[in-house]
Amino acid sequence: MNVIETHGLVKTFGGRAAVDQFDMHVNQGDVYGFVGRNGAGKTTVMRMLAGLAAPSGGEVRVFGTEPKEAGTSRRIGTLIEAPGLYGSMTAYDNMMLKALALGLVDPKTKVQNLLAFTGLGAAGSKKTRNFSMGMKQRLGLALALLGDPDLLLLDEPLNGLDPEGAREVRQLIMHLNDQRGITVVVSSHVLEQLGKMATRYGVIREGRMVREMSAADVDQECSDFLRLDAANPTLALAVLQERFPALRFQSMPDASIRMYGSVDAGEIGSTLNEAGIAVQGLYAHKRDLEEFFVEMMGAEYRG
Amino acid sequence: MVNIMRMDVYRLVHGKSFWIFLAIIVGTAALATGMMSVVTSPEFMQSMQSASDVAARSGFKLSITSSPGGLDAGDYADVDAALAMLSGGITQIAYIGRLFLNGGALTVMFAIFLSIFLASEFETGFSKNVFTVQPNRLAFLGARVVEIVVLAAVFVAVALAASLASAAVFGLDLAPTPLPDFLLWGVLVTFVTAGFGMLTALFVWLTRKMAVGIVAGVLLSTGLVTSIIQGILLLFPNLKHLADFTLSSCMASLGQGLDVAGGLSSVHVAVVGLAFIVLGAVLSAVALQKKDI
Repeated sequence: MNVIETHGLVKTFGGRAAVDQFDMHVNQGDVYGFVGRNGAGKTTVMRMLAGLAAPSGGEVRVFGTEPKEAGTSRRIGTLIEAPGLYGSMTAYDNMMLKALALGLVDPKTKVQNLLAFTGLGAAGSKKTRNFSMGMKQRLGLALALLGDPDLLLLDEPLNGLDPEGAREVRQLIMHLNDQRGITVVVSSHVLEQLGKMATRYGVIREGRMVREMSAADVDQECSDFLRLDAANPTLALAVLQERFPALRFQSMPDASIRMYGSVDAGEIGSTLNEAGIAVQGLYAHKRDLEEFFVEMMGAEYRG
Repeated sequence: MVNIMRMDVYRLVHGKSFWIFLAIIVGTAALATGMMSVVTSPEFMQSMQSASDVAARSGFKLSITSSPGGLDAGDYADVDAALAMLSGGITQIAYIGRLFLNGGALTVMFAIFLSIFLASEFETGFSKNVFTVQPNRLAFLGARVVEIVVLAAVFVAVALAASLASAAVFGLDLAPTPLPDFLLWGVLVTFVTAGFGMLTALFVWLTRKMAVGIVAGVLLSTGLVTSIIQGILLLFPNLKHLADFTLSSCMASLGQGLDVAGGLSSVHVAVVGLAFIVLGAVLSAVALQKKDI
């Protein structure tokens, strides 16, 4: 079942489309890594998913209804942009405010439990203006968890965290997904951490969904490949596809060819030599997650 | 809606601004009444006379009289008349009106407080938490309208209590106002104050900026906007009476007392106050529905 589904979603600001014909699909139980450059439209999409911003066009469904439906909105926990906190109030008071707005039964106990769960048990009586960025992010996460949501929308939750803090928050998210079955949409520039928790990915560029894929797809695409620079890439691709049907080929914008699968560089060279195609370069390459996504977020992608 | 109100009550009680503004009201009442008490005391008059004598002996003439020889019986009579006007014959509600309504002290404080209270929700980003919990903006608005009226009542009640308590402490002799009149007057002041509050809230919700709310609230509460309207209406003598339908005109009338000669009727004030509350709420509903969070 799709927890989130958008079709042709559009959001314009002053005539400029920040989100343009955006399609997104998040399944129950996913940890959905939402990847894109700054200004690509991630936060705007998150705000529309949370019901905080109205779409200019298209459709957004969360749990099969509009996000603004009262029953739906209470199932969504959000940490979008900065955690909104009253700096002159304590962490406990900030939590109590949302707990009261939610109408929780026994809000004090819920608040104390969540503060302890997010590692802020000892800092509950501290004014949030004195919190470090990492503590604010944790408190933002605790606020998002009030009301036991079924869906978490986390926009850059690892911002401002040191490596240890980022690891702890990642483990927390994985724990929530694993133990409580919470579906999570998480955007982050810390792709290494994202790669350790995401089960699916969506890549946004200039307001459009470039591609959605599973973690397995990403693993496969990040696996080793051979890069070939040939004098006639179109002919070379045709020859290789005929000769090696088990391999997967990808034609790149810079006219190079990538070959995925169990491949022997010597065999490739010989085949091209037999076909009379000059080989200008042939070498093994391994992409890491960052390289993989940066390519999709920035350059023209022909996957 | 009730949950939003529970949240706001918690924020009022655990925050500082609400208590600070109530303390300012109490302090203003005490200070103004204390000064009036000093000015109207025989000791003050005596000290003025002594100062005048000392100054005269040293060749320096200091006086609050036009008589060449210093204060005389006529001056005392003039001052007594002035003081009688200040305190002796004044009713309780006219006295409170002078302290808090004429000049807009109460409404200015209320507008500034409301701007801080309402805008900080948006400026801190906490509104994201509120609107994911309560996506129905009309329910949010409904809670806030009720709160603005209740808070106006609290501000008015504290101003009344502080003024009367200060007068009692400092021994000012105020002519009592019958309780029904006093309560009706309090309700009318609450309506008009809440009307100013709704207009201030409208500016906050339109712009999400505390500074804009404060500036708009102060300009409206001090009567500056009404003065401009009155100035414009001078050009159209037939429409002059329209100025009576402003909140400032109603508050100025209430500052003189209840149903005083030359003032506005209670019904008129009540209708104008309620009309501005409704108008502010309707325009706020449009602003809240149209804008993203």
